[in-house]
Amino acid sequence: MTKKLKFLIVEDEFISRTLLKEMLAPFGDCHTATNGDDAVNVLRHSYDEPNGRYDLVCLDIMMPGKNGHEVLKELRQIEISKGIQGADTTKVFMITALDDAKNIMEALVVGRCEAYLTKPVSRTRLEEQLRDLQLIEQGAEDV
Amino acid sequence: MYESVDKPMIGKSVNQKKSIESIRLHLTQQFNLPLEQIDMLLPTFIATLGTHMGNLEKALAENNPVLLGKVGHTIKGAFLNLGLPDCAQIALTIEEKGRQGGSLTDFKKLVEDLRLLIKPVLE
Repeated sequence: MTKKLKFLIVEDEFISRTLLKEMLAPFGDCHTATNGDDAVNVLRHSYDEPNGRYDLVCLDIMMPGKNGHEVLKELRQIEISKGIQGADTTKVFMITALDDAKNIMEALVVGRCEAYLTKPVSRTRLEEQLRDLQLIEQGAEDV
Repeated sequence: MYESVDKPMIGKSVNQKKSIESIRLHLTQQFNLPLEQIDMLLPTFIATLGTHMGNLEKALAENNPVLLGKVGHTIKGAFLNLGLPDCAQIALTIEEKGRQGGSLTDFKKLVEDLRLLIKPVLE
């Protein structure tokens, strides 16, 4: 049996947020944040509880308050301050629109996100990425 | 397999039925969600589009290019998710013109075009 994963979806737009949640729900617990500031708070507090760390954060780039790059940067700083490194770090998918090439490069190179997905994020592509990162097993559909 | 279900379509015009069927088909193919789930989500998604359009109209009435650009970005993502690329293209133009501080005339025309395109879905 696959381990139940913990996801944080950070997205200000309701339809995008809901669709991601519906697609990820079979694989674990989905939490949501609708802006960057809330996301940083949720991430910071997630380390207060045992096994509270998120396995994956799906992060929109352009949001009210802190943008996706800033959230990613703060997440990596929190991890450094807690001595979390390597395989124990939270995986991050940046979610963006098709015309955001500059933003995607910044997220990959500077922020060290694991992948970027363009809207509309298909179930096939999402599950492919989850498998590539070994968050789910080959052929896994739910837990 | 994609099946047509009449239940969520009661009381809707032919144009609206067609538009909603097309969104429904897109959601089925793109996200591979069960039809029952899509039919449950769809009314809220359509209502959300209406709210986004309202926000766009409000930003236009305020003649606020920055806000128009931001709402344009938000609604672009919604259109892409619902399989409405023509609407997403106009939203992208609004977003870009908002960033560049476009003129009220530009925005009026773009929002009007968008209003006409999305009318069958929202009517």
